[in-house]
Amino acid sequence: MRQLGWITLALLFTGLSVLLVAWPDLRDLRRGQNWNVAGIDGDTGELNGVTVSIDQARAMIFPAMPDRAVLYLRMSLQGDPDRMRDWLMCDLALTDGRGRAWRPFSNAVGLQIIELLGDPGDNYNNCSQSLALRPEGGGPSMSVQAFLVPVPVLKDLRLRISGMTTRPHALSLPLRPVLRPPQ
Amino acid sequence: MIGPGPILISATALALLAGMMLSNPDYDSVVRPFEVSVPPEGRGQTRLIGGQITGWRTADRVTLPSSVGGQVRETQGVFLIVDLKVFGTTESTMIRAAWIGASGRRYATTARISGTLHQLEDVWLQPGLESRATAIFELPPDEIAQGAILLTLRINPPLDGTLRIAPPPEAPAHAENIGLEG
Repeated sequence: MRQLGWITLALLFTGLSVLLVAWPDLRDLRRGQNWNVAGIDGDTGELNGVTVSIDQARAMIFPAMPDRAVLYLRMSLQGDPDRMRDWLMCDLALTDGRGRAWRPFSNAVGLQIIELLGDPGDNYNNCSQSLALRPEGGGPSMSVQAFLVPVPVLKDLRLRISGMTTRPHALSLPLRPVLRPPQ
Repeated sequence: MIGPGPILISATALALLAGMMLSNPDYDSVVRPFEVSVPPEGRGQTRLIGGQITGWRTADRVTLPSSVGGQVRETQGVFLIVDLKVFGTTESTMIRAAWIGASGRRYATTARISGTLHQLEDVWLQPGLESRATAIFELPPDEIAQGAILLTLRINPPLDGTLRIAPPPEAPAHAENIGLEG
């Protein structure tokens, strides 16, 4: 009986030491992923005091590549400046019902899509840049993003977004892009 | 007098400890992605990336597209150009390629060529979409036969597997000069 006690104690301390060593990694893992995604039905949602709004979503399918669509998204973030600072390093993706995620382009292709589908007054800031360069006076921080997605998912897309300190919490808003004819 | 029981327990413990120490993986093997071997003309995928070879060719010189200057690049070895079809599985990502030669040496894609059409360095892999990609290497000619291309995630490759794709069975077509599209 006494031996069983020692064995139990040894197992308990082994478990505790593993937990102690793994604790920083577990904390990073919790902060690094969008574990708790709140689904919203409208074009606007709020998370940690910041309002996320989808302003424009446009898509275009080229006849030469009928299986894919380029997609332009303009969105805004608005809230208290201190809260907005928490949103730096936005994590942003389009998701479908199967859990797949399409991330925005960060190269010249993305700029070409924004030029093609955007408006003349658009800035070229992405989500994080728009927060760092937000307008004075508390106006919304506008940002534009470009994506490439398969055509079948165009009717099933959602915008998933979170900030550096909001994770593991994230927002998910439905995205209904307006299809534009190819030029 | 020590009985046979404690001796047996000590010997077993020592043997187990020795076994654990001998099989302890070193840093390189711990952080190396698992390889998925793909046969010639086959198509393979890891958790996040997938692809297949659609063609390969070699050249003594390559001419860059006029959009990036049109210069001719020469090499002390040979240019190996591998055409691929690549796709993402669940998340948009970018990849890097290496050629593992017959000697086991690994060659990264050349950094002297950029701005060409479908160049692997510029291709985003998207879930549900196949994209063309071209990987360009500079290597000694005897490293091509019995070699293979390795595809990994560009960032944090140990978090996903490596695709090791064997080239087509026939030798690559050779040209003195290949003009790259821009």
